[in-house]
Amino acid sequence: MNKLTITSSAQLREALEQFYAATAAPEVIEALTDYFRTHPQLDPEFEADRAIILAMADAAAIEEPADMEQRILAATCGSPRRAIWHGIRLWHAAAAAVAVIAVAAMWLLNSNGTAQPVQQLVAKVDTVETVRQQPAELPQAQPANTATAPTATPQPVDAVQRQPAQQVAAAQPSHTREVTDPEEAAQILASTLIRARQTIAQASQAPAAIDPALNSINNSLNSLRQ
Amino acid sequence: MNATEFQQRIVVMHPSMFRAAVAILGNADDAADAVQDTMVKLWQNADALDDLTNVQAYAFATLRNQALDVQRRRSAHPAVDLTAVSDPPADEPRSPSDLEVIAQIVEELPAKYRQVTRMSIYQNLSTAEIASATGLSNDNVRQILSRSRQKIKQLYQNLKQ
Repeated sequence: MNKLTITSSAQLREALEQFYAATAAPEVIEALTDYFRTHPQLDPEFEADRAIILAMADAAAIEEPADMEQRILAATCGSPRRAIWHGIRLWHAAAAAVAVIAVAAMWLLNSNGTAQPVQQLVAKVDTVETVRQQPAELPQAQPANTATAPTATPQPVDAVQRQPAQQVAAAQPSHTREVTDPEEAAQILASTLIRARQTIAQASQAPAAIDPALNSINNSLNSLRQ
Repeated sequence: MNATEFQQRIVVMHPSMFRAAVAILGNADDAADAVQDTMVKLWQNADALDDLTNVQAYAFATLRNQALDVQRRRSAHPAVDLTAVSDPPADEPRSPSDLEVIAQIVEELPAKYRQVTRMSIYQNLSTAEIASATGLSNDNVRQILSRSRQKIKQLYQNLKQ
């Protein structure tokens, strides 16, 4: 097949018309490129046309470094260490939160039975479940140094049934009560840790659940700090 | 997006991304760094890529921002080539090439026009190939390309006047 060549202004205008209508065949664009490369002295009216056509040709001719792909792979998914790191980083925040709760629990358990009030404001779902188990025994707010009998022993999540939120709200308007018994505090913390572990295990099946899990842990942590 | 998917869907775009980066930055070394940094950012954000409807457009947008960052740093701290004694002084700005000017104009086009024009220029795709990649009809791609080229010409002429 003969190579298309532009030899006149009329041909040039016709080829440009096709180019700007986006109907030019590749050989027409190639002919335009050749023409502008070999005719540096042109009417100024074609200056923009020349710039666009030659810029496109220059862009298409750019060769990237031979090791570009290796560089990218080494910096991203091609490095086994980076790939593993990427896979586990989702769990860093959750693991750190669980570790903080564990430290807090140990600190409380080592308080030697001193009547140290612990504010129970665990995650809403935990309180809801506790309230549902023994709604009649919910204590009123008591002085911090008053000995209080354990009221509700938290149980694993799987062992309890869900209850409508309105019913729970009627049973206890607040999610807060004070606990002065160290044993009960330890039980509550153990329950919270179990729930955190279960929630994170569920999150491993559905990464979108990681935020609720972290919120639950953070709520528990905040209440312990108080 | 796992490592295999990332390699198959994102890393394979590096030749066209490199051409776009060169067109914007006018320098192969800076372009290679910009592409690599862009890929690292995309990989760090790989989990979110699955939710995107147009990963390619997102990757190019990230590259564009990266290239513009490089440009800003370059203008804030211009490099001096000590071996090129005959070159103009470092404080004399280098006039951009036509390719850089055209590339900047392309980046200013509306999103759909920009995407189609990038495919045409940097990936050297035909109208049919662009239509296949974008889901647009051949006529629609042709219309967009036509308007983009006319707009580029108009903006280029305005810049040169």
